[in-house]
Amino acid sequence: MKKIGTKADLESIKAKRGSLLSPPHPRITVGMATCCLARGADKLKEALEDEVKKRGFKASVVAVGCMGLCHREPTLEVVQRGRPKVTYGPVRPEEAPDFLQAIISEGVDKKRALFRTDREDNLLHGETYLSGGIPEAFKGIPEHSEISSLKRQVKIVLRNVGLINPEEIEEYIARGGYFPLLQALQMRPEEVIEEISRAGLRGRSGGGFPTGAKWLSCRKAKGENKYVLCNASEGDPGIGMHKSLLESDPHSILEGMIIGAYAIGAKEGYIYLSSGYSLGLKRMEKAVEDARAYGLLGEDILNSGFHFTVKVKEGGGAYVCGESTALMASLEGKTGEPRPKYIHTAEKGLWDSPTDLNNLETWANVPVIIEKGAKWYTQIGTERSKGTKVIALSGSIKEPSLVEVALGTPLKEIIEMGGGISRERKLKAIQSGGPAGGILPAESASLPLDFDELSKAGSNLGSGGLIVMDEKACMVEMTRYFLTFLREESCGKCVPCREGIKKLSELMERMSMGIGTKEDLALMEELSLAMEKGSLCDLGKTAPHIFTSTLRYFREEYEAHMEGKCPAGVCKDLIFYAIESSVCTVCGACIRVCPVNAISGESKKAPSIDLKKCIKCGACIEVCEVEAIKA
Amino acid sequence: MTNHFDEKEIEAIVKKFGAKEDALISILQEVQRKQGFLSEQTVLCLSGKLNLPAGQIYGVASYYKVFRTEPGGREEIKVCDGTSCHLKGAGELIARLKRELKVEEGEPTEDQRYTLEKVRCQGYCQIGPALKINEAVHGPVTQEKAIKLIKEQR
Repeated sequence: MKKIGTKADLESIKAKRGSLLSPPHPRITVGMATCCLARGADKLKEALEDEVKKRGFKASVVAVGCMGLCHREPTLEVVQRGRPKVTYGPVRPEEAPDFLQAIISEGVDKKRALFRTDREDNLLHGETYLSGGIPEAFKGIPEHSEISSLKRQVKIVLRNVGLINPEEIEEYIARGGYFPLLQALQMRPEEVIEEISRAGLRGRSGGGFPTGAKWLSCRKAKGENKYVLCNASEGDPGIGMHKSLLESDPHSILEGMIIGAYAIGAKEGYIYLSSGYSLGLKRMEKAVEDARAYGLLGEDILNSGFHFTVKVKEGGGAYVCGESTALMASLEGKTGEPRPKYIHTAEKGLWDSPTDLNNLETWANVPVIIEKGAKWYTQIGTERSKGTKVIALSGSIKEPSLVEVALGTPLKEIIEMGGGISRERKLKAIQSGGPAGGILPAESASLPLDFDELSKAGSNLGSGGLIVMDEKACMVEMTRYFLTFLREESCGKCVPCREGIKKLSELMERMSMGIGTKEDLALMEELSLAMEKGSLCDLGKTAPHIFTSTLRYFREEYEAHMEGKCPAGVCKDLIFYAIESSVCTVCGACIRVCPVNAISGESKKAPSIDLKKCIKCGACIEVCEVEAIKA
Repeated sequence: MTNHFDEKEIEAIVKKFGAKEDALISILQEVQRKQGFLSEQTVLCLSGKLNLPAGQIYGVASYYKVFRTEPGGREEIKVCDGTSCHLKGAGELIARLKRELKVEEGEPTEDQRYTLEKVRCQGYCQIGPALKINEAVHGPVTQEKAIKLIKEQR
């Protein structure tokens, strides 16, 4: 590979790679992030390749990252010059011949088409799908701007996600990648920091600390070796967002880091990944290798005289390693325990050297801010929260998906983008921020997605997981769940966290068993306060938040449990199962799945449950399509 | 994968990552991937090669969730119990699989074939409850489907 030195070199790679959005022959892209792979995307790609070959059809079949349409997987798209892009899904491998036949003869498979995209806001590239009118064959397919879940998205971080092959650096460059780096290297480092500060970029890992200020203090810190780190260690339960970005567009993260390192004056960087992200790890390592081969990493990057290298490191799977000092300890090869931060990591971080740590989504924003400018960026978002946020929408939602919206978008609208609550149930609560966040009631759906508004309400934006709960979710059980999680994850270094969480968790166990008391609640409130004030790191400080938020908004549910009732029908000690005969269709599914043969009945009559045998495993509830089994 | 100890293999792994403290976690990951678990013998062996106290190595090995200091089954069944999966019945799924396979979490089945593990969010929130049998991810699964998938392995 010839090293890239000038803008002309980048232009030539871009020209050589050719158009991604309007290629002369059909480009069939298959979403192949882990989620899609679980749904058989690899088999679909193979089937398409076989079919293309067999027919001698001039088309390319390309693996891309996550398309965000998790409920429609496996998903694929077809682009070709003079035609809009069309998105299809789900397409099963056995449908490949039929699908290709339609593409060959009509240019489009109307039967499987979800929507078409005529134009796209290309952030860094300026190319679009269609320049002329819409061909007749495509007219019946809805345009993506007519679909509410898609038109409200603003894609900055996900600009390339699902469009490019994440394992080919040339595709990233063809989309305008690494041009911002060139631009940044022509600026003075202080100017780069100034631009980021003016853009109002805030850390996307939850705290929302201003990125520019962070960079500046690290730049000013004295030290020969400085480090920039990328936190890609997703610990929060409920968030697949980091994974999607790593697997779908690793170069956007890497480019942001190189720009940041230049601004700060760092020569070395580390990307810290959570354990078990094998595909993300593989793609990130490939990205680093390719960037090095092109001279975008290493000595004298783009003839600027700036040197920078990056290593990718896999962690050991500890939630506390999302905490900056614990992460740094882990990178040094030690147990991931945090330390007090009266000396900031910007001054003494990794190996006691000045260190800047940003989350991967924060890094991915950087190239766009450099290219489009702070002024452009500040038009998106709210007064104090600028830009966008990637949201992994899951839980009781019809269409779980990965979306990117402008900060300030009401939570309600985000839930609507996921098609609303599944099974036509009612929204009960919204969880954000993982175990460090909170659980908010249905009314909070009118709140805007904003760092400060969410923390005022008692939750946290976190790294972007939004878990929607319906009336079948028990707030006492969810609180117990989170505290059990934290109990296992507390590193045990400081007493308020270690003992506080243990006690809170024990008292929550009592609550879910129906033997909690008012005194327990008072003790828990007192403990929460002590933990918030006295814990060493954010894990302990925020650990009581799930409890305090559910107590604040769902006190009546605690009271019901103290009286031995679980209104949502979840807590095993307080419920028993019964079949409602008026709803039952006598299909017999529950009888077949019961592992202890507790369900029996005569023909044509709703069966009944022998409560002495029933172990409340929930297998019957899972298979009952009419929800006749009540707890 | 079989549980074993092979000093030559460990030596090659140390060479690959470098005999430095900051490579310790990567080395342990790789050794476990190849040799199944981190035995006392492994820890002592690494202590010599990396010139680090065995206590420090064992400390790291026992601190991080991903490491196993006892032998596991030949194959892995992982049930995701992240928030989203939990909300959709992962807790019940684990209880059921424990019952079916007659094991406790983290322990191998009697025939040493499987280890059943409850794991933290794996990023499959959109397809929960998710189940991972070795490298293959399935979701959403019901209890019945999970049992069927495991039986198909046999």
